[in-house]
Amino acid sequence: MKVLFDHYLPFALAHGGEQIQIEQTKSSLERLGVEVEFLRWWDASQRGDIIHYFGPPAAAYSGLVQQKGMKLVVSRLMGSLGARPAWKRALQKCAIGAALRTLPESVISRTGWAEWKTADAYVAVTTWEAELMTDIFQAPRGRVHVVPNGVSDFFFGQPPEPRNEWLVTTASILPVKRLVETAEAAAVAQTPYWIIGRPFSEADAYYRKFAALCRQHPKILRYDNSMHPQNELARFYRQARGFVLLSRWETQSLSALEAAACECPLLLSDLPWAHATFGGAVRFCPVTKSTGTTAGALREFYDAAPLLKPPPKPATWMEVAQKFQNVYKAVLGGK
Amino acid sequence: MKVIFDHHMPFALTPGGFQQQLAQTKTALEQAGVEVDYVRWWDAAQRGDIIHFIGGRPTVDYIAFAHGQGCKVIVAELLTATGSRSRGYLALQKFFTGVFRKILPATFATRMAWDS
Repeated sequence: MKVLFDHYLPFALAHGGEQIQIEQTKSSLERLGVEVEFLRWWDASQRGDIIHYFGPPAAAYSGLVQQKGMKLVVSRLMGSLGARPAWKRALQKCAIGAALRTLPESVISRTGWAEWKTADAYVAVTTWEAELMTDIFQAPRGRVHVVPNGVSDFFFGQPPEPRNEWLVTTASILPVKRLVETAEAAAVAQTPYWIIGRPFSEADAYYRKFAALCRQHPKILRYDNSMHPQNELARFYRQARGFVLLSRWETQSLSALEAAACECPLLLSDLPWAHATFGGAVRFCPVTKSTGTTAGALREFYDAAPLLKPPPKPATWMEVAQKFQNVYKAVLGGK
Repeated sequence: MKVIFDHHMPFALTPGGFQQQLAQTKTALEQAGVEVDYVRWWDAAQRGDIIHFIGGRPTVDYIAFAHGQGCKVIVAELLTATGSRSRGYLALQKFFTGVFRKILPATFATRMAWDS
């Protein structure tokens, strides 16, 4: 079995969770004996049994894959859609249905909606996003699979350590992560807050606002933009009082899973992805513009963290690779 | 100057004239002394001064990310189907595109890449 991985956004332009997911899945599948290559779009001689596309494939992609006698597996992240309120999702479902009936094919092909019928398998990382695929986009239920994100072995093997006073977040410095909002709330709540992460660009206005805020509150806010190896991050999660991620949306946060593997208590945005991943074993904070409400939730979590039970253990990347291997076998008809 | 070519349809699926055009352009540019590479999407260390996006148009996000890295983007879309339409049809398309850009949510407009 030979699988070609394809993706639309170069890692050189945007680092983050999807890059880690793709790299870790590839190396774990190879350890299982599955041959995996990155798709070289310019190489007309490259062949495989399956193309595994991460993201929305271009119009007509699936038809061309099938013409070549290959299978197409599509992994989609639907964090933004998943965070919308139910009425917006219902409206979106109606609008998509109406558009599919009325708009010309040239427009529909650009939206990617028609691609929800034609791939051989669709992969969601949570049961919540699998439900969105079948409900909003009407993907055939039998072709939708759930394969969660995984965590490197480093994070499971770290021995327990005494916990310090810091709440920690590891995330890219982007508006969607709401780090400015969380840092402002931490300053109000007086909860020491340590942020580890980089912006996509240091010229970005949101990053400059964030950096200024950290300089303004040096005793409460600690910003670290270095790249830490995984064993160091694992130690940070073992030492932190708690892990905080109050982002506007996520598909399934890798850093939250890593912190969970290190038994670090979690405070997450009150969103379906977090409930689908961790159930009731973590604390939740509403996504709100109110700094006071967020500060209250931070303070409450800060005080309670030492007594909270550890969150459930996430999957390892090898377990994830085994699930993908099962999906590949299914689309190849058990080969 | 380093230029990197990007395209979202593998040539293994669509061999033909376009592949030849791209290969010839790359060779000719190299002969003219321009460093040219293909986008290796998995290579986080790959750098270039310009991304030449060929045969389609990237999303607004793609262009914003490139600009964030200090990289310029050239879009060379093939408008074969659009260019074959009648003037009346094109006028209608222009009208509806304008209306949709005003009324549809940003997520939809991003997918259509009208602002790319």
